[in-house]
Amino acid sequence: MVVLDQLVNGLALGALYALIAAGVAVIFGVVGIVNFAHGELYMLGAYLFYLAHVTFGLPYIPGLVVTIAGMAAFGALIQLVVVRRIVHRPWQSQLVATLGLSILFLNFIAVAVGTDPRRAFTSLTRATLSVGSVSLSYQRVALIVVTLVAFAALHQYVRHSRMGKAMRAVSQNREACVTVGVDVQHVAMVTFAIAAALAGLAAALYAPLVTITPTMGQLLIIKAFVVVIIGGFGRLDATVAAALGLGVAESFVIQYVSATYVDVFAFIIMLGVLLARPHGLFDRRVGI
Amino acid sequence: MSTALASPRAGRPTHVAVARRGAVMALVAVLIVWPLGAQSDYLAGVAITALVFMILALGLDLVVGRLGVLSFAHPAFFGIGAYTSALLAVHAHASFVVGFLAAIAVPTVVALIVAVPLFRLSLHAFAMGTLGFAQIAWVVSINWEQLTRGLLCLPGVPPVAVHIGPLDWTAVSLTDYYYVALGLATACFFIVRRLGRSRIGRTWTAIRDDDVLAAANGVPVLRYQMLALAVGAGMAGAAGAFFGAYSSLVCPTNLALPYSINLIIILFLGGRGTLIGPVIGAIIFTGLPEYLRVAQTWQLAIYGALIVLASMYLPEGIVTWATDRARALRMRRLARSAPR
Repeated sequence: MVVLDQLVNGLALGALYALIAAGVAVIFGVVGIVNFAHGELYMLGAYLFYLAHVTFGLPYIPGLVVTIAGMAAFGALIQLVVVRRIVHRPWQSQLVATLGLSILFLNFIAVAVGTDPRRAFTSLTRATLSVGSVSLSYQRVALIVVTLVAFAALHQYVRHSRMGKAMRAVSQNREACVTVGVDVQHVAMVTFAIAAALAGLAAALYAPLVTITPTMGQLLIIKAFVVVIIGGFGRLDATVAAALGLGVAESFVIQYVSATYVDVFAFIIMLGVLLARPHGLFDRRVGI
Repeated sequence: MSTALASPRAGRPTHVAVARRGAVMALVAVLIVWPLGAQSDYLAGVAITALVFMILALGLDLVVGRLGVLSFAHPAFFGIGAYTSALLAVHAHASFVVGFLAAIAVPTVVALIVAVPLFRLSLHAFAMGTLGFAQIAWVVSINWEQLTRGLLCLPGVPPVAVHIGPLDWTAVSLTDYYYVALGLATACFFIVRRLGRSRIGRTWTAIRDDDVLAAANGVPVLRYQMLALAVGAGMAGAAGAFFGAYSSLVCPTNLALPYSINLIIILFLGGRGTLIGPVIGAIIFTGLPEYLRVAQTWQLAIYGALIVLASMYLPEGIVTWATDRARALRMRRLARSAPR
């Protein structure tokens, strides 16, 4: 029943990818910029969680809430201070701006807090659930379940709430929204807050399973791009599905093919998708 | 009056042109002479790094500045060139010149091959495609240990040496390497300049502005795109061969993503599509972290903050901003001196 174990590992990894990639996708869909700093938002969330749970000793759930709220506020702050000024610039400047933010965040943490790896164990980290002959990590199960619940909630929000409809409208036709009086910058701020909150949730759920270092977000952002390309830039549901798929696929590749080349596998899939459907995946006609 | 305003070059008075020429010649003289007097090895090392980045930036600018697409693939070509010449030197005992030529040829061929599928993609997809290619190259360089020795790096790369006919010279000191780097950078500079002013350069601009229209006018767009990528790759390979000989070591980290990011920052903040943009960008962004060593611990964080600020307030790059300012000043002076 190693397969079940790998499946759970894969879904957990996929849940992580989904939370990060969804943030990138929704920012690209609504605000129109590619956020290269998103991996660092995850990293900041992990450190915030460490601060809340380990340094201040908050129990798991309050710590998780603090992380999400804190990251949401930070995301809104980034939009307010930096993104507003670069939205009207060419995409190259936007790229450099987010790259600069990524460098700033990473090195700020490296200096302010230090580069020693930290661990944020929770009550769930070591606890395992026995299914038949397999013991599954509770933390991973919680990660998968909470992620699915979060995405279901997000889906409902985007479909039915006023702000959700505004987000969809802006992602479909920005100029029309401005014309009818939608406060596009406000929508963008909320979008950033949601995306950062998702990254914070990912951090609070996944950080207990890994070591916390300043560079932990760097490979993730690249995987997030792969997922977004496979799923389709700006399309939330497809991104989540692609993320879970990639996570499971990678998990099986690690087990049965090669652990060293697993990252190459993701890129080969991405290149394959890009070559097979060079125009279709970037069609933003549908929006989020 | 209107013609003078319309064509800035024609409107520039003679004494300004002469002063410009003089300044350029003085700069060239300084570049050639200063290592002979300076005692500092450290400064020579920084200068060599800046020159290598300059070569890479000039090559990448062909794709990013002239063609207008974003490419992360450049460090991969640099690494391929470096490994090619290093492997030839270490295993086949080839001379530096042979290795150097191979280091230009191999990345060029690779670029031509990957260009065909990549240039079919749209803007964002192309960027991601080059990113994927670069990542694959990086992972392969780490894991194909029989060839590259992976993270243990490839040591023992012989120094730059030229043994053709009567010429028998080996680079020994840092100053020697500086001159080789300067020579390479100058050659690349003139290649890019020549291409930029030629029909090829104008065609690239046409493709950048509207590739569909260019194609409709009979331009074989893909061929020109392949040319830009291939020339850039060749230059990167040459820089790689030099770098391998200079550091006598070739590591997978030479292919890593931070190089891509640095190059992109150099181009976008130095000014892409221009000739001096990559040059000035390379100098500033190699020099800046060194200059910031004053604030030792925080230097990289400050560097990141500066990049964000520059992208917010100098979106087209420093060179373009400076030339815009200079042109605005000239216009104002011309307007003021116009007859009422």
